[in-house]
Amino acid sequence: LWSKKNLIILSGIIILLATFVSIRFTVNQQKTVGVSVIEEENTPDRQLRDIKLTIFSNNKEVNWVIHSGVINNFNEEGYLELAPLEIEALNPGSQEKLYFISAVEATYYTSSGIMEIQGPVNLEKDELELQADFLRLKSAGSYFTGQGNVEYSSPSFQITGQGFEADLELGIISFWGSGNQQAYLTWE
Amino acid sequence: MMVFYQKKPFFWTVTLLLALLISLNGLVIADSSIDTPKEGLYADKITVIMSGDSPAKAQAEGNARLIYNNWQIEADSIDYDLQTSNISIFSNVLFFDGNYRVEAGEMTGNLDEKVFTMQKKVKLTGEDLQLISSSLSCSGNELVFQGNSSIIYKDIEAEAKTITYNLDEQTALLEGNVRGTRNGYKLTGEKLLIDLSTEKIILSNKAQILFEDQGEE
Repeated sequence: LWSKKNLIILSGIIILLATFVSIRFTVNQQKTVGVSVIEEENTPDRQLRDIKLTIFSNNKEVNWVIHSGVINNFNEEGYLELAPLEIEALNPGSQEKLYFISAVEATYYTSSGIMEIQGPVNLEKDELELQADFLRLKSAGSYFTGQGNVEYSSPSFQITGQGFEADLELGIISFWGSGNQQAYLTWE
Repeated sequence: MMVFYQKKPFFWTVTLLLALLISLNGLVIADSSIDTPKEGLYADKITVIMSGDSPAKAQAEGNARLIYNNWQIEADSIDYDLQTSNISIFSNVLFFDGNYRVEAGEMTGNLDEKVFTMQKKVKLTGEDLQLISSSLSCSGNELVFQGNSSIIYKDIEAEAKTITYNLDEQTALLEGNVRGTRNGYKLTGEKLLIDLSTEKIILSNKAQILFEDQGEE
């Protein structure tokens, strides 16, 4: 019954089946994982490693304490590249942690105070958690925008979308969908 | 069957394995294509007003859709208060509950209390049933249609100032300047009850009209 030839054919079928299953899982995993690194196109004026950087806002509402593995300082162009990074947003007076951001890389424009963070980006504020592929925020303000696989959640609710804008001070957040994917809110 | 298998056991084993593989693939594809909407609020844009760590109010704009229990409500815009469960729904409202479809211009109410009001060209459609009016109030299993209300159920057509439709009892109570027809019969009065399950029509003065195909009362 199980001659050598038959066993080879059967093995071939099993390999095909295994390949089919592994391809399906690989495709699913690739959908959820997106990692990018800083492209070394320009030579920075200065490169710093394992740095703790504090950015004080003009309105004295939020200070950012940034921990980064590598900071490339493009002094003439007026920006910093950071990768990877963690930002602790602190109340300047009480040192209370307002929110915490971790991401793969970011660009901080020194003159405007705008930080563009690429991801996946994770923002935590108390029990709230925000994830997105891209986040743009200003050091002195509480206004955020973001794009790509946005998910905002706490134990009591979840919102998903493809883009958002948020004013944390006012507590108003808008999410929108893209194409066939609508924004979605669900709650307990 | 066993004879075939004994003659070519390897051939049949491989064929069965291939059939299993194809079936599994088909199941996976079929499963991925089924889009079962989850309970919640869907829209092109959703704006939430936070209260602490939770959203207090949500406004859904553009192709808005609310799925709650076994209800689905579609509209151009849906405002939902997550703390009180109050809803305000505007423009091109479509309500589905599995048995009935209701169209309206506006809808307000409370999801938890199951109390709703619909306005502006209200039209309820069910199996063989159509109810039209200017406004509709829903409370529990009673639907009250007010203002130029009309009902069409199979060959029964009638209109009145108010129609109260009871979902449990499957009855429609028409009140105020009732006029209707069925199979050439003309009905007029101030009060008229239609039993949709038996298709009997009962007038308020306790007179009954029996129709040829309904047998005896």
